[in-house]
Amino acid sequence: MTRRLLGSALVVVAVALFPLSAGNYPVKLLQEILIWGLFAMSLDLLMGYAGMVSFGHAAFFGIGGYVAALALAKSPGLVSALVLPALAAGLAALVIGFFSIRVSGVYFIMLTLAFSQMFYAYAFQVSWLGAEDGLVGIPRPVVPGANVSSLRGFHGYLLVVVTLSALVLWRIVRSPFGHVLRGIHENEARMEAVGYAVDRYKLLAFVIAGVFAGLAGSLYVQFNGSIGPDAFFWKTSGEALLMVIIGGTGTLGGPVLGAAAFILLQSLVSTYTERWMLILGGTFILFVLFAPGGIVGALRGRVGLRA
Amino acid sequence: MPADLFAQALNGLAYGVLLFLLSVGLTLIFGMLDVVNLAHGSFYMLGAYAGLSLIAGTGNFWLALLLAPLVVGLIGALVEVSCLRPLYRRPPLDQVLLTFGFIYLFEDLVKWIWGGRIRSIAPPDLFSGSVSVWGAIIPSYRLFVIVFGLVMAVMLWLLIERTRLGAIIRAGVFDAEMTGGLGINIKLVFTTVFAFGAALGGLSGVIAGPIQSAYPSMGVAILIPALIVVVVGGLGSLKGSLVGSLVIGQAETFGKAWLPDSSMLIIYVVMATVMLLRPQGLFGRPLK
Amino acid sequence: MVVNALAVKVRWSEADPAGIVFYPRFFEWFDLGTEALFESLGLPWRELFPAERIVGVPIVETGARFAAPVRYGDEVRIETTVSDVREKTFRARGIRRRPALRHRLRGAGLGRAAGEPRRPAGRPTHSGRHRRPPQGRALSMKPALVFETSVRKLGECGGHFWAPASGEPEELNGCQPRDLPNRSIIGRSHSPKEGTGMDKVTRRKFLGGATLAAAGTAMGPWVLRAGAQSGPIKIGVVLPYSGVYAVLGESITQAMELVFARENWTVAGRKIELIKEDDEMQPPVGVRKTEKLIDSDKVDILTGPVHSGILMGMRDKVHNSKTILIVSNAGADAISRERCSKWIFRTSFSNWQPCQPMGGWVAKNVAKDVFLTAPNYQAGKDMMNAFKETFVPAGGKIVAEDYPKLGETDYAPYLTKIRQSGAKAVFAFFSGTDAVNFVKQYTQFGLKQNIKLTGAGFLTEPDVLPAQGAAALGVITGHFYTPLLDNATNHRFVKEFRDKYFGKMPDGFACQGHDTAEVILRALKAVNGNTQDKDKLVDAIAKVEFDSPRGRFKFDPKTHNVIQPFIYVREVREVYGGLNNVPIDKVANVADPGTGCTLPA
Repeated sequence: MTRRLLGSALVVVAVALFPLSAGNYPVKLLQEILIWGLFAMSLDLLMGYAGMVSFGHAAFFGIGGYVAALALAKSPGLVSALVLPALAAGLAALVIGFFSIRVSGVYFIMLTLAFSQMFYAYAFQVSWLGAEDGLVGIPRPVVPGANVSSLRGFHGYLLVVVTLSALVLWRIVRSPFGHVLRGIHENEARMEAVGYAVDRYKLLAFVIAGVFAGLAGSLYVQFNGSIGPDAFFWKTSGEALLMVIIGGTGTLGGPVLGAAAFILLQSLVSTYTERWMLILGGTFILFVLFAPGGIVGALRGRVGLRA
Repeated sequence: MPADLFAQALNGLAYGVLLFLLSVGLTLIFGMLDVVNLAHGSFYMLGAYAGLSLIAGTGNFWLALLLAPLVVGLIGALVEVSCLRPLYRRPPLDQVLLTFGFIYLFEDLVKWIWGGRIRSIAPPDLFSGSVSVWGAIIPSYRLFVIVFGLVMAVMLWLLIERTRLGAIIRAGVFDAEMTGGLGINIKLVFTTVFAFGAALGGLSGVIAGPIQSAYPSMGVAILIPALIVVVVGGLGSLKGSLVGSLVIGQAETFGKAWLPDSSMLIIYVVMATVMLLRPQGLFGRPLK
Repeated sequence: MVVNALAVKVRWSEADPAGIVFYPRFFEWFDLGTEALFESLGLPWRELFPAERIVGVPIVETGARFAAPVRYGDEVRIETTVSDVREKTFRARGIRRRPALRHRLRGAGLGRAAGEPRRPAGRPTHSGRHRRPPQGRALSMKPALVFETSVRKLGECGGHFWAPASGEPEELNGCQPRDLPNRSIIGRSHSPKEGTGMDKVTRRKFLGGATLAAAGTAMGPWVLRAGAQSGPIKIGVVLPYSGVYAVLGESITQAMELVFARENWTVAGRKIELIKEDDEMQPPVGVRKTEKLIDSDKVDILTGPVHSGILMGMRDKVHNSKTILIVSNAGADAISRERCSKWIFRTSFSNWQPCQPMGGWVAKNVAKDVFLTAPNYQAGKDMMNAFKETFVPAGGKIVAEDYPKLGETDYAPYLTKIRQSGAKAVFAFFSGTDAVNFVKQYTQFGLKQNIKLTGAGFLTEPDVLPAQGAAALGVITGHFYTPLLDNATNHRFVKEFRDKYFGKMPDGFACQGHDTAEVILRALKAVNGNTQDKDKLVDAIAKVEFDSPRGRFKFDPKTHNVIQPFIYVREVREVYGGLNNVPIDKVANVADPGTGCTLPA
């Protein structure tokens, strides 16, 4: 356990120092990895710990992103950048979760998918959200004590936010609440029989996951300066799932690794060959077949996803 | 006004029938194997492209209509045997994810072989004009699609309800394990059903080709409507698939005609409403 | 692993009227096996229990899974082993499972067993669990039953396959022994929860290899790029090279390369280097690639993109980094209006330009009752608004407007509405896949005879014309180019393009690429290849003027947008052995109004 903490701390330090040694483009890639890593981590809380597979997680990513875009355009402060998007996403998660928790398994997948597609359809067509083009020209927030508009400044800010989020998630997972979630994942009927209000726990997990997904979406807007309806599209949810699987469910570090793998594949392989989608799909299939525990799972020698 | 309504209703019927051909395969696969085949849209796409090549090669639309689904069915069988079978014992999520990976794979494969351009598929000469039906003008090809689709629906119903294979499939949909326990080679049945579903998807792709043309992202585009149909109709139910697709076909068509700004939203709202009021769909079996 | 096997024949009394063993019998067999196991270990219950003062072994849980029927007359082999031992309970299961847990049992058992109340049997599960307090020994195994029959052998042996008690495979009832492991146990090949059977080693190797490959790929380009220093002039290209719009990316690139090749890829003594990046028509990817080109590759001039969304996404980056961008396609009006920048030039068109002249022309030459339709996004709305600017003053009436969603595949409802609207003509903007589907379906619905189809040039450009085929005949569109233009520059361009690219005809996109390259060459020549002084270069670009295949090329100093020498009205006809946009009329000097643009900005 201490080894893992040390390892994680080392990684954080390495990431922090990265801009000093590398050019702008690799640093930007790393920042994207951090953002998507947070998104994937939030999904992992839902999937790997609570055992709820959602194909609509992009809904909260998109909500966080659009709320941040609208808020930052009006007043670029930390509240707009972090608080409002997270709250909005959390609220949406509360509403969507309330309806979705009633069903499980495949039906849960489909219902969450439907909800996120609703947001997609709405954002795609209405002009106040920029329709197909989305919102552009979003300024970075003004953070006291740091110049977030510069590459290095943003790097530090992003790292702090993501690391703190990861820590919070880590604490949640280790807490009694996290254990109850895992119990629900293993055997819901038993947990219910023992007396836990399973539905409430699931809803809470859903909301927490939504909050952090919204945060990731907001960071994405701050990183890119723009957001479009694709943020809500089901393929975005699917890509997050991909990252979680490749990295390893039920671990918090895994999804970040998965995000790294995905983004590196997308950015670097596409420089060399047009067939990067083939490679991505093939890699993912191989992982699902042979290494269901993902990278982390294999490194730990685990046998696979919890049944 | 009535002629207008009727014209739009015909449009909706043609689209609905297309959706039916696609979604019936999806619902069978889910009903039997508990697999949400996200790559089903890819079978649709492969069917369209296979049809494209077959027409280019033989110059005969009808031959392509016959052969292309077989090709796609074969591909489906290969996928099932090689990749899905090892996953049956794993939680259903793994299978869903596997099919998701196949979406990327197939799309790029198609781009590689046929290029990224949009490709046109000509309707058969027999049906290349337009006809007037009670004052509504509709391309004769779409009329053919409606008739073909309804005939297929009847044939499928006969197959499922009146043949031994159909009985096995129904039994498998109801309880695969028990069916296996009765001594039926359930693995072969699984493969057959998957291949059959894929072939139906491919068939709908060939049929849709002359209307929509063929392009690499067509699978992803049609997948959502197909999923919605299956959910609304009830996973695993043929009747549900038919009713669901007709309903969604009309909803989407009239949505586009009357509320163009919200046209995309309408079908999702329909889906969510059905899921909330009756999660198993209109004709699905009650949730366990 | 301790195992005991016992062979038992099914008796008449044990079968039901259908000849199948009555299921409670299995539980008796379980217990039989358990007892036999203890006996085989030298601990028969009749001696063990009194010796250890054990009252009995209460069962807390039992269950069975019936894989296939067993019939009267069959011989059954009961194999028992222990799969799981815990402090107070242990689990006996089938052979296939390895023992889940092993504990040293401490003496806690005896006294307890004596005084402990019996636990009732719980609900059936997949195991039989027995509470048994043995003493001190590492393990006493409690047997349970495995009974499984291979479903695979159905039809061959009447539904069963089983090994005889002796352990030696032999033929029984006409069945061939399968090649089984030495225990010749029947049943499924592996237990459900063990995964696919790939062992850890293979998994590790696979992932190790994959990580190495990924790391290697990751290092690659950065190492390579580090070598590229000053010397050649670097032109960045952000275009789609994959997907439906790849044809546009290719056209533009091909023309650029044609022009550069004319000058031997050299200008003012320096070599020209083209760095191409695929933006996949997706704004996040496009912006990422833009940043790569600007930050990593340090391009001197950037060109592209096709997608207006990408253009808007890269605008600030380009502007703030003072990188010169020559837009070679994307038509977002905003770039020539409120979001213009001194660093951004456009050689292609603004969405306004092909449409605005068409309004007046259509009103005068086609019809005054027009139905407008375009995809529901900014470009579509912009184009329709531009059309209205000259259409309405010329006496035209907009009968109705419809904006189907971008990427629509089935236009049937909209086409029916068009027919029912009473319009005499349609003005439409669609591009790519949408254009193909719309035009084809328009013809399929029989609308073309009575309702003239007109539109912005993209409706029938060569990227979609082949797929549209005969459906496109007679469609009238407005565009700044068609390969059939009759001027010397165009003749030369068409000839050279076809010679170089195997007979392929250049299109509007190729013209855009041609002009982009020409602008770059001429401006660089004017500053003698000095890419360091960016302000001077910008001035040079702004002043460029030359003969383009489309006519006399000039930038509008107010907007940095090209002033279209002509917007041609073209009709699709079958000429020169194929479908072509034939110019039938033209409007001169179309410059974007540039409202809201203040340069230098």
